[in-house]
Amino acid sequence: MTDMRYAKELMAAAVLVLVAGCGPTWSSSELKTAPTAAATVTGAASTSESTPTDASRILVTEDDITDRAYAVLGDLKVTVNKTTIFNQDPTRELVDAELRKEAAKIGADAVILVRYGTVGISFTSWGSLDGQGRAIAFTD
Amino acid sequence: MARAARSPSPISLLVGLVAVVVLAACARRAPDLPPDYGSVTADQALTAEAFSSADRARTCGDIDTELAVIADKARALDDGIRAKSQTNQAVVYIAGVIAAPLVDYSIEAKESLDTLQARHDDLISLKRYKACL
Repeated sequence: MTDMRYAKELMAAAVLVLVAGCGPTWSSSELKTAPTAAATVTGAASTSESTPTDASRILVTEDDITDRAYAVLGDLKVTVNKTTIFNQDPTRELVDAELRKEAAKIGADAVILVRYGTVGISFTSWGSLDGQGRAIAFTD
Repeated sequence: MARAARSPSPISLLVGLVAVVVLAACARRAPDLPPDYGSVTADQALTAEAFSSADRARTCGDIDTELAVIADKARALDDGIRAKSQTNQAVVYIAGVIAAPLVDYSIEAKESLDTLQARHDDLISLKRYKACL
């Protein structure tokens, strides 16, 4: 009987640790690098040659940028998932933050043409929201 | 020896039903990105044939106005889907796959969002073609 009680307490503690250890959301990402990215960034924007940039300074926009020349570094796809059914659904702001984080890793200055999915149930989460965007580096 | 046709097992039917509910109630994927026509290494150039004559006649101001309208419509549709999302999750969580008929799939709203995104992409490329700032 005592063993059973300990087992239950251990199970409850494990669940508590698991839930407490997890944030309200978790995410995944995918990068499809542009075939010409390395050459372009090296040649035209040598200062940002795949050097990680500051994520907080990366512009994220649903539009194109027409007043500055840019090179494409790659197409980003991110998904933000809520950890449990009791967490808030992921927002576009969280998707933007994830896009910024991934774009910073490849030295981007901006993520353009951003588009979002709609929040809903997925095979891995009670609430998922994805987004895509094109990571670019300015060349002028 | 010929085998008699077997009907699907209850388990495979249940798995199929779960998949249908999850896939339909679920998150709509973000539409694919358009081709690269704006970078210094773009391998595709925009030509007049890519746009209707009515679109070509539009001013940059007209395009911005329509983009704003699209953004408002998309936001309203997204808000509507988001508002139903929590209810859908609760319904499926409590009642499982038998709740399939109670789930609000928002199929029309999701299709409208795809249509709006396609138009948004057209207008963005039109802005580049017309060299709007």
